Parts: sequence; structure tokens; C-alpha cells
Amino acid sequence: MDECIIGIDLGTRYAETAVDIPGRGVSIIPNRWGGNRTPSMVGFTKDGLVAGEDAARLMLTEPETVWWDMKRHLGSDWTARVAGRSYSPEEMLLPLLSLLREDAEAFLKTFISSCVLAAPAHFSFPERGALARAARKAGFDRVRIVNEPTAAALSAGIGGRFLVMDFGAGTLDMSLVEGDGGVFQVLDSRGRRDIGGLDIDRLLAERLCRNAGVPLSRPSDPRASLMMREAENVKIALSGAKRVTWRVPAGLADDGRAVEIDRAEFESLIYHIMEEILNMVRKMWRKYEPEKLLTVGGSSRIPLLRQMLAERVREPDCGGGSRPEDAVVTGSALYAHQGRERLLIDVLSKSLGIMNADGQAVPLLRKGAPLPAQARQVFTARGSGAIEITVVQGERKVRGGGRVLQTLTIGGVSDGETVEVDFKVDGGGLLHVEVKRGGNTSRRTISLDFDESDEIQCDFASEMRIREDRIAKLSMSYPDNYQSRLLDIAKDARSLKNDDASLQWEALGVLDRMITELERAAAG
Amino acid sequence: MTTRNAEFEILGLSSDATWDDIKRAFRRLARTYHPDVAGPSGARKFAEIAEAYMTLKETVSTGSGKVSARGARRAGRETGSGESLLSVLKRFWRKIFPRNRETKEEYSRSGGFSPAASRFVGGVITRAESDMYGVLSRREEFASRTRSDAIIRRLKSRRPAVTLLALRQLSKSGMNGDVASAAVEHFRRNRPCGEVLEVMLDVFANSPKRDDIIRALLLHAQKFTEQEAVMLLGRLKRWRAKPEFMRPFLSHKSPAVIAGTLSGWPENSVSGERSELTILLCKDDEAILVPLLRLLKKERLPRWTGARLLSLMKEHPSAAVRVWASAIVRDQKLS
Repeated sequence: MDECIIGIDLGTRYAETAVDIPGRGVSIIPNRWGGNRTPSMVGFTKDGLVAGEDAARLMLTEPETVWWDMKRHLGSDWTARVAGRSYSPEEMLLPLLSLLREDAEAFLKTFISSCVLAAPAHFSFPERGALARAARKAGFDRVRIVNEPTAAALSAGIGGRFLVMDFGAGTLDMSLVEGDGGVFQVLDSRGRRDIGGLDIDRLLAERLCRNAGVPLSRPSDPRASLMMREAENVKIALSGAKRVTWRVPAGLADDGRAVEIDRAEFESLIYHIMEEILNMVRKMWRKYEPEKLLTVGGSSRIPLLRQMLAERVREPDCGGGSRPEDAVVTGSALYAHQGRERLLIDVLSKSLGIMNADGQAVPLLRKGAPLPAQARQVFTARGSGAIEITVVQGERKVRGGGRVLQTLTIGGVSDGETVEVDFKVDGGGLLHVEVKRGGNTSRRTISLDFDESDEIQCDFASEMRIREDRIAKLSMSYPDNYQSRLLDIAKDARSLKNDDASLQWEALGVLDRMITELERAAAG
Repeated sequence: MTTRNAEFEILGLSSDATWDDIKRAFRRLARTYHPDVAGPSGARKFAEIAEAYMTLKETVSTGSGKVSARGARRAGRETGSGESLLSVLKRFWRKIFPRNRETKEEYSRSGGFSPAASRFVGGVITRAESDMYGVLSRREEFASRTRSDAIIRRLKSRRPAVTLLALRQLSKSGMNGDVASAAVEHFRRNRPCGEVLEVMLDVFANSPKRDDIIRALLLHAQKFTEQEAVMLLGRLKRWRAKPEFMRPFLSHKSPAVIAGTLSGWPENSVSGERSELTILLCKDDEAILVPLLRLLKKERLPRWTGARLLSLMKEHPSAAVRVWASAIVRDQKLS
């Protein structure tokens, strides 16, 4: 078996991994506890960090040492403070991602160093960057990002125009996808980060506590997390049964009392959330008039939601008969092998621009552009010093509109020097910024710090071609022995074409130094 | 209108194409030029197609039939994705080309290559050669470092299955010093079990770090299961390991392990460990006593052993033990 690329759905509540083996289809990878879904939790013990079920178990006894909402804080300054050390969201994701990788390695019996990570469609560039960075630290050398609803569309594999609604524990995402003979093109995607299954759990937990006469505990209380788990179970049971009896566990009340809750009560409780979701769906529906509605994600099992969608929009479809929870991870695994017969083209969900001198955002890449996309901007220094470039994400063209992602400072430029800045967004919405400066000789690549791969893949072949041409030009006037030595050096450099990018840059640097000196000598 | 015709042309369409045609053409071309299909070389072409598609998209409202004539493209955008790499290269050329031509004229005026210039050029080339050699020589180092990092990360896994994977990889590709040290460090803290132990011993069989790994393993000597300990002892015997490496197993809880240790004990190094060995005379198992007595036969034994040996000779249920004990008693004239 050649290299395996696994698909990872890193959900707010549960994480899943799957692999697409050519000829055998997609299989979900079981974790070390024998289940398919690993709780997305990380806990701190005195022996170090634990993740998955271990952390979930810790949650019941010492909830203050367990975190599970890292994903929502990605790309922000949020930190978890434990035992005098603070952890960034990326560091918190590390044990979880390593665990997923190891389970996959144990299952597939091979090293795994590439993955496709599903991210919510509404994730911004810094959030995606942070996610990719966390995965890279966890041992995945090559990381691709795919949007969750888009991945779900890929797993369904249906043609025509359809709306995918991904309603998970923490997020609500929608994508409008057009399938056309194996090419899936995303036309629009949007999402809300404040609606999710957890909000339903919270409401249900409050109601259950009130009905049972159990005092509602503060979120930091161990009992609160126990209560959330109980509420989740009751919610799931209510999807199948009309009436559920909830026996209050010993941790919350000692007398073993029980309360009943029926589906009607539950539905009245969550009606306003469902109404809001329906509004979003209807808005997309009116705008694009799709043919099908695909619902994925665990929370899309709620009968009320399905009923409301069927009555007011369209009968929802689960797609391919697979479980709605598995759609995203299946799609991510498929995305790893995309090619001629199955190609997914995503879109840029928010436009990307730079701020001009008046403080207005000038879009470079427009919203809805097919990915991968790239734009080049040439800046000319007025006066020596530094060029400052402010990268902005968002739509509004008014002063101060859009969200400032980062300010790039290119120092040490002379008056009139031109600097080329390449903005590249890859197929999964990861942004790379490349700065080329100094006219012909030195080329420097820097990147925004939310995509830390300093060694951006350089287009080595074309860089080499430029230098080889110049060497050929130079050597024309040289005696034969010098000519052949120069060609040998160029040949050596070319032989690095499959090597590490940092070595390639170094070789190019050697050539540049040589060419500059020779040219200067030739010019007198 | 002319500018927009160019976009139609890129997509291979005539200018009366409908929006549906445009979408279909875009997808058809994407299937050939998308970087996931065509590799990085398709990126430029794909960008061109995508740009044309986006421009046409902006002039139509979704779902309507014909592409409307309004909203002609802003002409003469200076920057943005429209500029291809090729045109940038051309600009490059224009910059450097005239200078080169001047250079050549200068050379021909001065009548070719002067000795001083030749020396200078030779020097520059020599330096570049040695620099390039430096870069190339670090190539293997780079590649092996990435490989080792990947293996070390997995060796340290808490899952035995993943550690096993790393070891299997090592047994195929061989091991360098960094990996070996990391393995020693890891197994000092974590006891390898079953298959991991077996594969690890295979990997380390011919490594210069073999003694280090044995020392690390001996820290867990008491905790190994009988089967693991017997296997480990088998390897130690085959490697003719020093007796100090076998000693920790003398206090293992399983008699079979002790018996195995004794039967593999080098005969010429009994005297050094005499006290350790004689203590074992207090055990009752035949499997232990027979090899033990054989080892102790030529040794001078402390006085207290006399009574024990006599009782073994007379009372032990095993005939073999009785025979060996009586032989020692006879040799050392204890009676």
C-alpha cells in the first residue's frame, strides 16, 4: 500500500477519522477504545495530557482539568491555564490529533504523515492556519483543509444543484453545491458559529433540572458536565422515543428520583432555534433554488427539524444512506484522492484584500472565486524605509471595513524599489503570502504568521530556469573550461529538485551570489 | 466588448454562450487544469480560467439565460491575478538583457579575456563550487533527519502498536545514533511488552548501543512476564552477554526464568557471583537446583551450605538433584 492519507473530522464534540483505500472504499477508523467517535476532549493529569475517552472520563471527576472547546478558540489569544502553564488552542489540540494519528497508524499498520482536515465553512484564514499548524505539530507533514459541508457533499456524490446543511454540536454550516459529472463546484457557503447541538443540550439540561427539582450547578461544577452528558443522552433518546424517563444519577440527587419528558415539551423548548435555522435555509433556498436538501451532522437527526424542513422547504435527504454523523469524515477521506473522476472546487467564502492609503479595503480576491486562487500585487516604495501592507478579510469597501488579518512589514527598501506580493489561497482556503523583492537577484519568501510553513514550496524548476539562462548568457564569453564548470554547478543545483525547500533556497542563493559577482565583473 | 470576448475565448466558447454553457465549460476545463489533477503546472492555467469565469459571472445574474452586455470589464487593471508569471519573466529579461549586450561589446573591445579577469572568474566559480558541494553534502543529512524525526515520534507513542510500527521500519531501514538514543531513553521509562520487545531485540542485535538498551531493559527485569524474560535471556545467551546483565533475573518470581538464567550462565564467571548463586540453594525446584549445582560443582562453598547440601542429597524428591548434591558433597568432602 502506498501512502495513506486519512480524513479527519475534528468536531466540537466528537472527532472521527476515515481512510479511502482505492478499490475498497472508505472505512471509518476505530479508535483505541473500539468506538468510531473519539470525544474531542483534552484533559490534564499529573502524568501529562490525555485525550479522547480518557479525558471524557476525567471530565466526570475533575471537570476543571478538561477542555473540549479548543476548536472554537483557534486563531485567538485564548489560553488554558493549567498548573502554572498556559496552553494555546493549538497546543491543546495536539494530544487529540496525535491520538487520532496513532489510532489510524495502529489500524492501518503504516506510518501516516498526511491528512485532510475538515474545518467549518465559516472559519477565517487565521483559524484555518492555526488548525493546519496544530496538525503539522502533531506529526502530519502534509495537511489539507476542506470545508465541512463541502466534504459532506462529496460523500453524498449526487448530481444536480443541492444545499448541504451541516448541523453539528458546535456549528451550523451550509454550502450550495452543484454536481456535474464528477465535478462538484461550490457556489456559496455560509455558517453560524453560535448555533449548535450543545445549545440544545444546555436548554434541555436546564429544563430537566427544573422539572426534577435539582439545583442547577454552575458550569465549573463537576455536576454541570455530568448534566450536559445526561441531557445529550436524553436528547438522543427523544429522537427515537416519544417519551423518555430520566432517572437522576447519583451524582446529582441521592434519592434516585426520576422525571419524564415528552417530545412535545422538548420541541417547544428548542422551537426558536429551529426557526432560526429554517430562516437561514429558506434564504439560501430562495436565492439559488436548489433541487435537493442534504442534511448531515448529528444534530440534524432531531425529528422536529426534519419535519419543519420537509413541510416548509424540502424533504431532507441523508445522502448515500450513511449515517449523518459520518458524512463529513467520509467526504474528507474522499477528498484526499481527488482527481479527474471526482473533483471538488470550493470557493472563497470571504473576499481578501489589502488596505490602501485611505484606509479602504481593496479586494484582491473576490468572494466566490474558485479555489485555488492567486493574486499578485506590486508595491513601489516611496522614499526608503519600509513598506507596510495590511491584509484585510471581508466585504465592505468603506473606511475601516473588513477584518484586519495582519500587517506585513517589508523593511530596508530603497526609494523606487518594487516589491511583488503573491497572495495564494489553496484548495482548502489556506492563505499563503509570498514576497519577492530586490529585482532580479534576491528572492525572499515570507509568510503571514498564521501559516507558519516558512519554506513555502518554491517553484524550483522555474526559479532554476531563470538562473540557468543567465549562466548560459554569462558563460558565452568564457573559455571552455569555465563554461563546463559553470554548467556543472547548475546541474548540481538542478539535482536538488526533489529535496527540502530550505536546501533549494540555499542552492539558489549560491547561484545568485555567483551570478551577481560575475555580472558585476563583466560590467566592469 | 472586446475584452469580454477574450474571456469567452479562454473558456473555449463563442460570445453568445449562456451562463449554463459558461459553467459547464469552466468545469470541463477545471477537470484538466485543476492543480489536484494536473499538478502545480496547471495552477497558472487554472487561475486564468477561474479569472475568466469570475469576470463573466459578475456580468450575469445567476439563473438568467444570456450573458447580458452590461457591466463591461474595467479596462487596464494594473495589478491582480491577471498578470501571468510569463509576463513577469519577460520584464525581468528586458531589464537584464541590455546590460549583458553591453558587457559583451566591452569584452570584444578589450580583445577578450584578460588574465586578471580570468583569475577573478576562476575564483568566483571555485567558491561557488565549494558552496554548492556544501549544500549537496547536507542533502542526505536533511533527508535522514526528517526520517528519524518521524520514527522517534512514533517510538515514543503510548500505543504499543505504533511503537511496533516504528521498530519494524527500523528493522528495514537501519538505525542511526539519534534514533538509538531515543529508543534507549524511551524504553528506560516504559517497559516494552511481547512483540515490541522481540522486534526491538532484533533491531538492536547488531547495534553499538546494544549494551545500553540491555541496561535499560534490566530496570524492568522483575516486571517482565515469564515468557518475555525467557526470550530476553535466550538473546543474552546468544550474544554472550556479561553475567552482570543476567544477574537481575536471579531474583525473578518465576522459577523457569531463574532456571533459564542459570543454564545460560557462563561457567567461567561463577566465582564472581558466588554469593548470589549460593543463596539460590534454598530454593526447592528441580529446574533451578540441577543447573545451579552443576555450576557450583567446582566452587569452594561457604560453610552453611553443607547442611543444605546433605539434606538435598538425602531428602530431595528428584533423583537428578540427589545425584548432583551427592557429587558435590563427595568432591568437597563435606560429610
